Amino acid sequence: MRVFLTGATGYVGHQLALELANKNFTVHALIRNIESRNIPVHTNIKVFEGDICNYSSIRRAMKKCDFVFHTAAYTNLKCRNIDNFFNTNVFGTENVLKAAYMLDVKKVIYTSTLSVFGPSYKSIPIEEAQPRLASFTNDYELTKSMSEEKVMEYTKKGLPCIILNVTRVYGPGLKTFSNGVNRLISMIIKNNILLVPNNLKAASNYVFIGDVVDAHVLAMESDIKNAKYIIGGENIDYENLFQKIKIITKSSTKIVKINFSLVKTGLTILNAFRNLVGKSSLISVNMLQSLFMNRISTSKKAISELKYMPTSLQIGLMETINQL
Amino acid sequence: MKSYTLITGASTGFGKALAIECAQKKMNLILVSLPNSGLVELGSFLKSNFKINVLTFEIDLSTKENCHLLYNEVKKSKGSVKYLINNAGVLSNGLFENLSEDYFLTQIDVNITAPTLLTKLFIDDFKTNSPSGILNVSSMASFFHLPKKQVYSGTKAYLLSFSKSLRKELKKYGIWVSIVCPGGMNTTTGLCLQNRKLGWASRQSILNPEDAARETLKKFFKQKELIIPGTINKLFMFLDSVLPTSIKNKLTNRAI
Repeated sequence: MRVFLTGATGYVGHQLALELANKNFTVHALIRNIESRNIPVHTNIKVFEGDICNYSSIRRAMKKCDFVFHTAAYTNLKCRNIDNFFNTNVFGTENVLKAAYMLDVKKVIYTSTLSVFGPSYKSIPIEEAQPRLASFTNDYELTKSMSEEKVMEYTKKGLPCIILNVTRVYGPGLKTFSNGVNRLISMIIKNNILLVPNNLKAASNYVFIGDVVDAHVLAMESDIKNAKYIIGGENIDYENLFQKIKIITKSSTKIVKINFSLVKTGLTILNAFRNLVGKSSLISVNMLQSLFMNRISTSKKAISELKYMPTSLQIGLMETINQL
Repeated sequence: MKSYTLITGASTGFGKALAIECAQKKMNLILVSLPNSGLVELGSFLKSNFKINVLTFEIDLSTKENCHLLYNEVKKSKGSVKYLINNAGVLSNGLFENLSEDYFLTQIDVNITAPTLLTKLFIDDFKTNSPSGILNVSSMASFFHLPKKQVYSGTKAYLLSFSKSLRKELKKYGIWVSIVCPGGMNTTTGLCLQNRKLGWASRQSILNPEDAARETLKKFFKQKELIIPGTINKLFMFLDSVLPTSIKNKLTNRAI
C-alpha cells in the first residue's frame, strides 16, 4: 500500500513517515527542500520535491496512493504576517484535499491542534463536541480552524477525512518549533535557576510523540470514515509538571516565580528594544499568554472508537529524558 | 412556565457570545439558528456546565411560517420569553448590481420581517414577565452609509427606527427596547482573517464578540436606548455628529 505524506521534515511527520515505512507502506513524502537534513531516510520512503502551495506537485506525488497524511503546517508564532499562516495552513490544506478528492483517495488523516477549541472552561476537559467559547488568540489557531472548515467541506462532498486534534506534544525527535516541552526539560537539567511566571496553576494536556504517531496509524486502519478526535495524554499544571521533571532528572534547579504581569511588561519593553536595534523579538506576550492558558482535555472518544492507548506522563517523560 | 431569554442567530459570532454571557448570568436560554451550525452542541454545553435551562431550535427564520413555528414550539415547551434578542441577520455581499434578487429578499426577510414578527408574537410574554426587554441588534452601518452595504444598512436603519418608536409605545408596560449598533467584530473565520489584514488604525475599532457582548448586556440591563460597544466606535459616532457631510463622504468613499 502507498501513502502520501506532507510535513515529513516536521516533528510529527518525520516519525510518522518512519513508522509507516517500518510497517511496509510505501511513503510518498512531499518535500519542499530536498537538501533538508530532516528528511526521514528509509528504503520505503520516496521523496517527491514539491510544495503544498503548488497543486500539480501534490497531484504528481499523490498518484496511486491509498491514504493521505497531512501533517504539514506553518506554526511559527513569532511571524507577524498572517499570509504565511494562511498560505500553508488554509490554501495548502485545500490543495491537498482537492488532490485527494480528484484522485479518489480512501481517507485523509489531517493533523490539527487542540488549540482550535480555545481555552478549557473552568475544570471541564475539552471534548470534541465542545463549542469554542472565546475568540482566536493568534493566527495559528485561526488558520487551523479555517483549514478544519475546508476539511468539513470536502467531507460533505464525500471525501472520507479524520481530523486529529493533537494536544501539546513532547518526546524524542527533531528539534523544531513544535516541541517546547523538550526545551523545558533541557532547561531543568542544565540550569541551576529557572525563572518562570508565577501562574503555575495553568494546566494543559501533554501527549507523547509515539502516541501521536500511533493515533495516525489507528485512524488510517479504522473503518470510521469521518470523525474528529482529540489525541492527548495527561492533564497536568506547570507546578506538578516541573516537580515531576525535577524528580525524574534528579535536578536541583531552583524554580523562581516572577509576577506574571511583570514578566509581560518586561517582555514588551525588551521586544520593543530588540525591534529597534533590528534583532528578532523573543517570545511575544501573546504567545506567553497562550502558553499559560488552561487547556485540559479528554481523549475518551479516541480511546473508545480508535482503541487509542496513551502512554502515562511518567513513562513518556522518562523515555524523553533518556534520549535527550 | 419558566422565563427565558430568546436569542436568534445564536450559534456563531455575536449571538453565541451573547448566549455565553447570558449563561454566565444564570439566565435560561432559548437559542435559535440555522440547522447544522453547532447550535445543539452549544446548547448542551451551556446547559450542563452553567446549570441553566436551554432550549434549542434549528429554524430558518426567513419565512413567516417558521417564525410562527418557533413561537408554537416555545409554547409547547412551556417557555415564556422575558428578554428577546433579535440578533440573526444576513450580512452584505458586494455591489447592488451584482446581488441576486433572492439574496436581498432573504436579507430583508431575516433582518426586518423576522425581528418585527417575533416582537409581535411574544408581546404577551413580555407583558406577563414585565419588567422585560427587547434587544435589537442593528449595526454602525445604520449611521454610516458605506458602499456595498446598501440593503444591509437599510435593514439595520429600519431596526433602529422601529426600536426607537416601539420603545415609546411599550414603556407603559414596563417593557424596554434597546438597540445595539456594533462596528466590526471578529465573528466568522473569514471576517477574522479580513480584520487582521486591516491597517493599524482600522484594526483598533475591531472588537472580539465576547467583549462587545459583555458591554452590550451590561447597558441593556441598565435599559439604555442606544448601545455602541467599544471606545473607538463611540468616537466615530461623536465625529459623525460634528463633522460636515462633505468630509464624511470623502472618508466613506475611500472605503470602497
